[in-house]
Amino acid sequence: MSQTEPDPTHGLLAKQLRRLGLRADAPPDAATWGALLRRVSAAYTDADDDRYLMERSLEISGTEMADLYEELRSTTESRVAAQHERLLAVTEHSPIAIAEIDAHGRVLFANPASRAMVGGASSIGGDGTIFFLVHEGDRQVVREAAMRAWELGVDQTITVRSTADDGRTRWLRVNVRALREADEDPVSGRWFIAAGDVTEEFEARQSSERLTALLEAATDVVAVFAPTGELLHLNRVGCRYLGVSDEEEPVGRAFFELFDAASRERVRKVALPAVRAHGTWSGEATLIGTDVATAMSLVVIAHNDPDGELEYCSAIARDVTELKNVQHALAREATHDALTGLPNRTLLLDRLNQAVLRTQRSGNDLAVLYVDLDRVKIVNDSLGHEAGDRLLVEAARRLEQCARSSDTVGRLGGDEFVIVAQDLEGPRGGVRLAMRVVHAFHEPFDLDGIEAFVTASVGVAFRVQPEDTAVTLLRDADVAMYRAKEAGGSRYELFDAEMRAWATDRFDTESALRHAIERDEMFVHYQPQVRPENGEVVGFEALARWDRPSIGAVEPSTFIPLAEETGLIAVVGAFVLEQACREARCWTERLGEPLRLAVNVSGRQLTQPGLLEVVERVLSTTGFDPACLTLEITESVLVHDPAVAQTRLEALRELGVRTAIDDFGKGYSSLAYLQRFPIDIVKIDQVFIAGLGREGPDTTIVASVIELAHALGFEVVAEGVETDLQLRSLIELGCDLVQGYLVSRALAPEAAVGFLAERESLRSLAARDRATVS
Amino acid sequence: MQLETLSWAPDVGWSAPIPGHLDSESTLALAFGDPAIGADPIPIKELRAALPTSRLLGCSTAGQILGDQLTDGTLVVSITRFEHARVDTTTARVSGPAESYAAGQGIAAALSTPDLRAVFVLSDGLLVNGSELVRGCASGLASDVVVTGGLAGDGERFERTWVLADDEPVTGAIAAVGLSGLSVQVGAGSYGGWDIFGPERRITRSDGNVLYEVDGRPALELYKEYLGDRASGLPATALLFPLAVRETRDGTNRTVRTILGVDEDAQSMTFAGDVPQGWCAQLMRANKDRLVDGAMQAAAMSEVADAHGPRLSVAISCVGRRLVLGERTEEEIEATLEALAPDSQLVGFYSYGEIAPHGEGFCDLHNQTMTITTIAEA
Repeated sequence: MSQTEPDPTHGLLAKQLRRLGLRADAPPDAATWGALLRRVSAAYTDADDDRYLMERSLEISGTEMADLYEELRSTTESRVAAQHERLLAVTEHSPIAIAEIDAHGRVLFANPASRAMVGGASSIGGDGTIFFLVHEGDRQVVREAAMRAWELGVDQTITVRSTADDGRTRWLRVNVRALREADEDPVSGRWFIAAGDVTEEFEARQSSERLTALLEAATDVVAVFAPTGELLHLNRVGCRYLGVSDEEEPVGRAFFELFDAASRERVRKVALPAVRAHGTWSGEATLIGTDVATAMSLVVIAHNDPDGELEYCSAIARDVTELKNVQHALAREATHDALTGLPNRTLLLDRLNQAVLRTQRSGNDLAVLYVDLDRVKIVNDSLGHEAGDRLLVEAARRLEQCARSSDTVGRLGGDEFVIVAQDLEGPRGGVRLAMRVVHAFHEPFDLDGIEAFVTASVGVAFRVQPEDTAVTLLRDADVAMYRAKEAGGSRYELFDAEMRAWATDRFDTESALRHAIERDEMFVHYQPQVRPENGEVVGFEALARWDRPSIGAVEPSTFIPLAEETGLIAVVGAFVLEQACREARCWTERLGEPLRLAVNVSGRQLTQPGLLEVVERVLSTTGFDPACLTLEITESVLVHDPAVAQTRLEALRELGVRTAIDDFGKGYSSLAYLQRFPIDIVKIDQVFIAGLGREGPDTTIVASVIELAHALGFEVVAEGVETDLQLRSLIELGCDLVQGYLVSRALAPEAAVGFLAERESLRSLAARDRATVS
Repeated sequence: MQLETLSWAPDVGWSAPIPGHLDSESTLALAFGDPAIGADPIPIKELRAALPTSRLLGCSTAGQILGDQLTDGTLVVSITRFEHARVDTTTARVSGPAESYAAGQGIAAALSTPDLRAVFVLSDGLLVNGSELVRGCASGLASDVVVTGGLAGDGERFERTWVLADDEPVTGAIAAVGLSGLSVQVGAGSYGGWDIFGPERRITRSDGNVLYEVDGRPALELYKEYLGDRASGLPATALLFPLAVRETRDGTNRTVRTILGVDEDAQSMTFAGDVPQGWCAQLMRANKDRLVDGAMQAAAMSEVADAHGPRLSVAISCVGRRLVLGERTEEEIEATLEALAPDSQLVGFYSYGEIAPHGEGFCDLHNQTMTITTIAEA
């Protein structure tokens, strides 16, 4: 074997040979040969094993790897496909318009939303670029945004207008992204456009801005606040109240801070619970501005979240200072006398009621002074109402000066005033006050340089009995005042036991009178009116009579004034009129000739509405001839209220009813004055008749009255004729009719019928006598 | 430092007289023997008789190494008398893997001295969880103490291993020697040389060092599929496919695990170290040339720079490597010897697990590696 040839022995074999002490070029002995073969065999086995395991593991792991790869590939592919599907679906169904454009604005891709957004146009018109879809004025904005996106590598968001197919302008918020490769020229660039229609949002914002501007310009306070009270919004006016400048936000401030302490409590404890329960609350609250408190009307409204939980509240507060002032003025007008500014009857009674209640608790004395001014009417008549008003104002001032600050001075009306004096130290305090009042009117009033003397009559009532009320006290004081007046005026009278008895009696009478008619206690008696020269019965004067059970006949002079005061006169008057007309109608029918009937009408009846209707009704229901009916009124009503009297009298004449002036001569009027009214008859008062035929002026007076009355066209009736002398005088003077005890007293109906029959027979007898004589 | 190596074989007896003159309290005698010696420890007794005061450490193996020779049935011995170093030994006993960590802690505590330089551990190969043992040991030692050693072997049988405790070959024992003193020079190197192959799998069920499932499939089934005809040689044949485990797929620190046993009933496999659930595992296979190269690299790594006098190199190689290398096993021993300094003497054994530091100095249990510990005195 040459030196240059490589050793043909395998390294392992060489090692095996070496281990066994063998050489490659010398054969071994048998034993060593066997050992060598074993080692060589082991090496082969090793190699086989190696190869087996190598191949096997390669195969198995190869399969495993192939499986894994397949699994990976399929999952990756399906994932990519799914991802693509998703992206496609998202793009297709996205409400956002998605498009890809090139540098010229040409559309490379557009999803359905893009087409819908521009009004369903299937393709882009015009130059085929996306710019065609953008409002002319905004195209440059899009171009600039695209360039900025390219240069900065940052998405650009812009808001532009788009004109849809229907011509409507839509607002789009557009995101522009440059799809830029490195070092790419923008000319070959592409852009990704995503646009959302924000027209509604935009218009809502504009509308909201308009609304906000309105709220800001409003003069009302408008606030939005959380249920905790934290202010979320406050308009400019509100900010001013809170002392926050227009620019500042009232962040962290509370709605409640706007109010004064009391209103704050009310808003917290009343308004907010009400808002939670009912959704709204309205009421009043006082806002404390930076300098002044202001009365506000406040409306709070709840705004709930979808779960119905209170989310926030809004409130509107309006300045109601003016309204309050007007309300105050109205309230004052309702409770105060416009002329003097004193409390009127309403307020006075209220104060008196309160005083009574307080007196009940305190036990202190309470006095009511009823003040009536004497002779005010004279001032009115002579100097005019204006002067009269000044007098009343000055009188009110004097009364206020007399009273203490705790007393109430009020005006009931006309010339009547009341002072409520409470917490007096004994009755003497009330007396001293009454004395001061009377004394205060000793001084004359200066009315434009003319001195007017007006005095005061004062009635004083103390609260002495537990059952005394405001009404009874006032009535008692009135009674006492009346006594003072009766006693000549310019003085005071204390309501005392006697007065109480009188007042009680009057009260009883009044309540009995109220029931007199329904209980058939009221009757009509008739006093004949005859011609003086022949005694011919012309008619009767109807007179009311009250037969009060357990007391007997009550004089008209007692109950007629009472009826007048209490207003019952209308009822009594209507009763008498109807009763008399009905009975007289029967007699007329029986006689076969007309019979005159005179019925008294009180002044109050005449001036109050309703008389005409009563007369009409009675005439129609009884069928009594209006021409035979005479309504007698007193002359005083013509003096006190001439205008109303005139109207009523004319209306009565329209009905065909005649009118008479009763008790003529007692008042101040003259026949000349009466002539202004539609009067038919004058009844001369009996005081003048009483002096007829005797020494004195009465005969002259009666003679001139009759003469003048006849001259003026009045018929004349003389009443209260009691003697032959008087009758003869009246015959001489030409008086038309007479009535009186000489002829007959007032008769019950049956007696009146008897009287008529008797006179009729007498007259027949006389006629026969006359015929016999002639 | 003085050093002599010799061997004992049943029919031949000692290859040389036991050097009784080296006996001292700072003499370390290492004896690696055939498992069968445990049943009749005559050479152990003779060794002790000749070296009454020396520190004696020994264990059973899966093949003994002396010089460039690999032998079975023998006892190989190294006797090292240190001039300056102090030599301390300790033993610990365990009844099961759960006590491994505590045993490691006990050893560290027993051997700790201020100038401790190195600890060499021989442990029962089947009853101890090597990973836990090393962790327990390292926890009680300074980080600059070199910890090396190996798990005793039982040939290819995996039935019973022994470690000398009080000169008696017993199971469930751990013996360790600590070398203290400035003169002590210790170098350690460890290298595998295996290739990973096939897909990386997830450990879906395991308990400590017992592996049940990978990728939801019984691990034993996977091994059997790969082994094919050779599955009948389990568990030894499984050593052909050690397992590389790492915590995550991105993890760089792969650890190799050698199979110690199989349980057909539980379809489980027991490894020489932890196979934590959730970790990633990948099969490994041998490239014989690379195994041999690996052994050489381990030897180079263990070089001691500043040695004065002879060097003792202890080679502990994995039984798996022997199984793979077969007829070529001695090649890795020769390669190792070639890479060592000329005055080095090599003893060692094929083990069920190797203990050595990682590259960065952290000690761990290795499998399937050639681990070289070189001891010298400056």
